[in-house]
Amino acid sequence: MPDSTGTVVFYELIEGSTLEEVILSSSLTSEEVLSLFFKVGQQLATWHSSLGSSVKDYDCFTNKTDRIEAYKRKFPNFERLLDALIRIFNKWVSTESQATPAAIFHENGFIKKINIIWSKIDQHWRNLKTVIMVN
Amino acid sequence: MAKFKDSNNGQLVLCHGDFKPENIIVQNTGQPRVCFIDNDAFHGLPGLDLFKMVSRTVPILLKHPELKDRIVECLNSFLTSYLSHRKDNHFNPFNFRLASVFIALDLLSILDS
Repeated sequence: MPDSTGTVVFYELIEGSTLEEVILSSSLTSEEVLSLFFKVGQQLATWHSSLGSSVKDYDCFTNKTDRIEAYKRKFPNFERLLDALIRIFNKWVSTESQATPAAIFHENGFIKKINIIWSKIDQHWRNLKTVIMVN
Repeated sequence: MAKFKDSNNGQLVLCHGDFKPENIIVQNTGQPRVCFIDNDAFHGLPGLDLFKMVSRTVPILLKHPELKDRIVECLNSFLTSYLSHRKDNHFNPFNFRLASVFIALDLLSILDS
């Protein structure tokens, strides 16, 4: 149907579960869930490959500074926190010799390390909120 | 920023912009079909969609440690499939050292929300 500007647009009613619900659901077998993730990767690759652009526009990154400044105000030890996270992910992304991302997850103890960092951030955040509420 | 540009040879694609499990709908009527919804499309580095998918899946894993193996396998399937289906097969998002910054900031933004 035409929209207010006269452009013809198409609407499609999409019903189903989110991928998050699918992960948590026990209605599908492991193989079926893996197959869905495979399909998601394939579809995203197709989209990225077919809709490439020669536009050289990096404006989408310029607002990152504000976010960093905001976090610095919220987290007194923001630099150390970020450094710790960066070290973990740097190690992860620079392990190019690994054959698969899953191998990287397991062999670098990725999940264990991110659990530790996450719990520290979470604890820090809760303490900070308590301080803010008290004051 | 310069490192970002160099690492991807300046290649930009139309990013989804908010690529995470909540924005992927699975239709299970007959042949399963996946649809991407709620996009904030912009021209950016393709890794941005990949990294957001990873950083938004990790919290699910942390909330449900019993699903660790399943979720790691799912992410592996997603990333392996993506890399094998890119037409420009020289593309390797794991060269992006600044990906770590993106994922770290995104994890912080989850706490912030």
